[in-house]
Amino acid sequence: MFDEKVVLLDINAKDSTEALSLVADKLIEKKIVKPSYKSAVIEREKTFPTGLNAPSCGIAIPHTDAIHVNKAQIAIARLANPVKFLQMGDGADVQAKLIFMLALKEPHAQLETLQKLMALIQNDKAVSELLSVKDSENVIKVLTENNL
Amino acid sequence: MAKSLMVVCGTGIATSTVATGKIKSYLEEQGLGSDVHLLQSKIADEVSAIGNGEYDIVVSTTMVPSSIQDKVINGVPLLTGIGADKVLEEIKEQVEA
Repeated sequence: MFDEKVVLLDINAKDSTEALSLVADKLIEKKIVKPSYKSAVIEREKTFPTGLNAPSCGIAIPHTDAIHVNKAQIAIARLANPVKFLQMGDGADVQAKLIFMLALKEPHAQLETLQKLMALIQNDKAVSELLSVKDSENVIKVLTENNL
Repeated sequence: MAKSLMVVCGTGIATSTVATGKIKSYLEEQGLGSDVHLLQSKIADEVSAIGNGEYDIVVSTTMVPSSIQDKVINGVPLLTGIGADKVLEEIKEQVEA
């Protein structure tokens, strides 16, 4: 689900909405999602936040309904400065440094990928690599090494 | 009769899928796989059913309205791994209750 290699490194965003907008624009540009995805994912984040305080850093996994998606894909963005998301489930503050924006087509087909993604965010070594690598090729390499 | 266990998230396609997978493999490990009927949905479609007590056990990875909060187990630890054991034990207790 990373085959289109949508990787944005050290983006500057003043808040979560701007961050979501920048990543969604990239997915729209590559026609992975429909233009309607952007407002849908921003709105959904307000109603159902997707931040997670993972063991080694704050992350967010924004996503929205499949009708806005053309092709299943995960975009990854690293923020120059963390932005505040809210944690799903309890609304706790999450200072997110990494965003995995999910373009999902259907529930069960992507279970394995989503499970691997959750394993990745629990893996301190992989997360610290993602936070430190210099270019998108190395981001993809870390993901590949973690079977994503 | 098998108990019904509803797993909800915001869209019904992402985090509830992961949580359902975790719960399913845990219950199978515990030999409780056939005691539970797993269901998955989005919260918006389930608020009234949960409020009416239509499911024996409910796990959510998203925020739920306060009116049904005490009927719902917070499943977010199943995603982050932090506190996941406690959530799984709570589910097991409710399955065996």
